[in-house]
Amino acid sequence: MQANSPPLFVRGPSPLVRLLFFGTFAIVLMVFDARFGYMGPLRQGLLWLSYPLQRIAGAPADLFHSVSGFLVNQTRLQQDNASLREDKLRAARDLLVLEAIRADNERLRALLGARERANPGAVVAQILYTGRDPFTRKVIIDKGSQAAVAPGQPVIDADGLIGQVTRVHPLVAEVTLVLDKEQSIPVQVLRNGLRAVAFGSGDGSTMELRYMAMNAEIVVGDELTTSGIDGVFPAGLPVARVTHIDRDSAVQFARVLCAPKGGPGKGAELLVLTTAQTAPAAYPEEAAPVRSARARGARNARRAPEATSP
Amino acid sequence: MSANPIQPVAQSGTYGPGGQALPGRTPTRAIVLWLFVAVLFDLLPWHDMRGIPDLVSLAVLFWAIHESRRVNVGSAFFLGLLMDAANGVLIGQHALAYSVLAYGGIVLSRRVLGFGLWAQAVHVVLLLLLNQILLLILGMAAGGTFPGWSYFIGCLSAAALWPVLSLLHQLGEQAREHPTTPH
Repeated sequence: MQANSPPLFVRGPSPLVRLLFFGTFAIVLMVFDARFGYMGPLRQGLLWLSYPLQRIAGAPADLFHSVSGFLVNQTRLQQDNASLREDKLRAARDLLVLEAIRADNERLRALLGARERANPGAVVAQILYTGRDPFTRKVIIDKGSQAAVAPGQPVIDADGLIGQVTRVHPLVAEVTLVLDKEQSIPVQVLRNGLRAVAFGSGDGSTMELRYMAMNAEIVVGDELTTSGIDGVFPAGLPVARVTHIDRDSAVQFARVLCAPKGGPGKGAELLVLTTAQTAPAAYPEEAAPVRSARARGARNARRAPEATSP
Repeated sequence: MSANPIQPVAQSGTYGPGGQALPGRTPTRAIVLWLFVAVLFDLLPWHDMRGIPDLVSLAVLFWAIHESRRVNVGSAFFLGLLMDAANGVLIGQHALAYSVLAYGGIVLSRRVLGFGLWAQAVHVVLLLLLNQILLLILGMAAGGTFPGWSYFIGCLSAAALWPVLSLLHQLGEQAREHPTTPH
């Protein structure tokens, strides 16, 4: 044991003392982070340190992608081109219809006096790396608050919803995936409009609809989209497809499992919807005039005697 | 260095009478380089984490065992903080686990280096398993869910790298002791 040898050379505190010191320090940091959330500045400082490392670590993969993209063969390119052109034509038809529908929608909403649905802006981001933590499902993307990314914004890819921005730093942001157990998304069955809440099941590949009644009108293969009632996720984003339904009468609710549509495993490019948060403001805005009108009314009523008294 | 290049020799921090380093001492830049490579490896964009070793914990343990006077609990703590921030987990989680790991490595340093490479790897599995169990407890106390038993494969694959790292280390030592041999 080192502790028994005579202290001929200066060695500093013994390992046990160091362990006790740093261990206590770590526990204090954890408590402050978990309970009070005071660790924001420290976290950002450490991320400034690790950001260049992340870029360096990602560089070989980026290089590989660009080189393998350079070396694709001619036939593959031609095939890709043909299919892309076909897709574009199909999309163009849909777009033309969409324009007409959008105009229709605007007119109908004007007739109904409903608020216009916001058209969210978007930031294209790339996945830098996936979080190493096995307890949560997170990815780190290469856009942060400098690119107008803010906590709460939905993140999508070409196939559907991927997750939500949960923590933002100047240059990077953390996206909690829909697979995370803490992540819940209000959804709607596309077929019949049935509303539900989808949670990550925590196993890394499926989501589940909790609190579904035993006789709920839902079948395997149903498409789920965001319902938009939370005001965070815009309505109509594809989320998942129902893959398995377990109606066991021994438990209170039906067990509905579904497979998410979008996934970070499919591609590195993501879209962060930056101005999607319109609905939460809608309620206070609508409520505020009522309240202020009432307050004004009350004020007027109070002022009325004064006005009449002189 | 002994005649047999495979047999490891307990020579952590060999100092001369005046306190200056003997040729067997690992240069600081080698230690920093290995830790740096380990951090880079952990920040790679893996699609599936199962079975991917946590190289930072392995590197911390490696230097805690081989250079227990220079890689101490403090360096492990700061590396842990860096990994906490980079992974977006609770600040202090990896810091605590790595500190305990480094302490284990320092205390067992003499004992572990007396064994052959594969027996060393067994010690390493146990220490890394302790590290992972600690991380598991902290993660679950912070509200995480059990990630499944495949979580523990990581320490086996990390320990499988131990003999490779040790041989590389010995090659480096020999190259420094005999600068004429081509490397």
